[in-house]
Amino acid sequence: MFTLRNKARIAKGIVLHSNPLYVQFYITARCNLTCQQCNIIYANSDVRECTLSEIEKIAENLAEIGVAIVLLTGGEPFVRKDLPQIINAFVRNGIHVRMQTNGLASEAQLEECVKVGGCDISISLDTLYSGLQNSINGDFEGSWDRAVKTISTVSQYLPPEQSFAAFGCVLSPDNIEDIEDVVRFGTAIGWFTSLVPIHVVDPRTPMNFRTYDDSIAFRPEHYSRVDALMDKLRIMKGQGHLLYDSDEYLEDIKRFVKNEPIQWRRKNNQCCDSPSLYFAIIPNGDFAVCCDHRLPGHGVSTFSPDFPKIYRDQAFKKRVTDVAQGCIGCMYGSYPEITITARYWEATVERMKVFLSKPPVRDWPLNSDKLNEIAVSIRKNRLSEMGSPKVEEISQSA
Amino acid sequence: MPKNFFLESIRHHLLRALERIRNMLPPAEREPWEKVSLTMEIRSGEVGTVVIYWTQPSPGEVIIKRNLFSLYTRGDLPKKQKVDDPVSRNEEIADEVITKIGSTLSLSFPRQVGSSLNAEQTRSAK
Repeated sequence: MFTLRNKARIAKGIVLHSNPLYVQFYITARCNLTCQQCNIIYANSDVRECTLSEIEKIAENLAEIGVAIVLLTGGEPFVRKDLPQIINAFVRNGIHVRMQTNGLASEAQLEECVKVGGCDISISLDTLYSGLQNSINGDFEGSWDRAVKTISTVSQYLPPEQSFAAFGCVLSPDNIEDIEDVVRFGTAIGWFTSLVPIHVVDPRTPMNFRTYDDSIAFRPEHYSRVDALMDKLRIMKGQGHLLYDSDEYLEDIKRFVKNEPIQWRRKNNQCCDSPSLYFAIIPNGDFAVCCDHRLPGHGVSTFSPDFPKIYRDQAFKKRVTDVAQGCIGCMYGSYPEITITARYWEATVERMKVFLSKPPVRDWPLNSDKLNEIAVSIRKNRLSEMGSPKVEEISQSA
Repeated sequence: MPKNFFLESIRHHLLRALERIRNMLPPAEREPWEKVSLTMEIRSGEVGTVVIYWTQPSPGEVIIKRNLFSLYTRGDLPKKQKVDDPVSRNEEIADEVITKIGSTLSLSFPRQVGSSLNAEQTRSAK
């Protein structure tokens, strides 16, 4: 799935920490859902979006500084009419593209994006219960069904042998009991699952990605359930379930939900690795430390011809590091996992296994009926294990 | 019910401005501003307006025109593309709204009230 050049860039970044492996590009703030845990669709609304020609310049600049992977995210990236051309701009420059969607991408859009070189996708899926998913998505009826349809479409167009597909799953007090099912569902259809615990912030100290909604924060009564879940997930991973998260990361989720200090930054003076291993770009093309922190003061445009030079400048790196050092830390998945992969040998080996070994067995394509059948069967089995009366209800709905 | 994009966006940018302004003040003068941050809400007002209201340190509201902020400027449709980025202007507007809130509450703030704020009305129920 990765080109040789990209594998070399990734290896160089992991060993030398000298080039950014990964860039999160927030190509729009627009979205067609209002998920309860997301604030970035509001935080990034104040800037204009880049045009395609500016994005083409960004792709060239990122290639020049050795970026291996770009995540195209939003908002909902598929609301941009020019998404296929955006993907193509990065692919042309030898950068691996990970597409992200809330599950509302249309078949025509997906087909076109795969055709121009998109072979890596992450879809938001937090539960196998449609009512709960619709509620998490901001009370959008039918959004779970649309996500299942999108999973089906992806399985139709993505090449099973040369692609990567994952569920981005937000862990909140509402779905603690559903996460195992999501992982089982993903494993059954050849998709990985990646977890991010919900991030809530005090309105006095706003951060761009974190919700202000304190009603969905973890509380002491949830802690033991989260601990048990993380332990179970480690066991499931050992049994071959497709969970993308490292053991180090899962242990930190336990700490994070309890508001205890997280540990994944401990080998770098409690600081993340922005901008050495990763950074973010906001919709207007300006550099950002991450999804939570913009660069204070005058913005630095990543489509400027000077950007590669600016990026390599030590004074610029210090400006970024100063922001990162003041951060309380996050558990957003990609940043922690890249640092863990680059700085913890066991995790490096684990991650290499995922990307260098054969992809999971995938009996693709899968239609929506088949996916629903698998989901219902997983839900039934789990409820049956728990001795829940809901089994009857699910059997009837199936 | 789904959240309203514009109202949530305005709330976020005002909370950012509250933090900016508060951090310029001596610690002893920050508490009432923190109370505004904790209790501030936004709702749609009469046609074309947005009501920003708060309950502490004492209740009040500021009404602004809905189109004061430039939000969600598209880049994928040639007709809607804009070269000028509204980011600085949006920040200035947010700062001006917050200073207006401050003057409604008679709070100290570090900057002069901006001249271009199109706040239509302010009410304080102190």
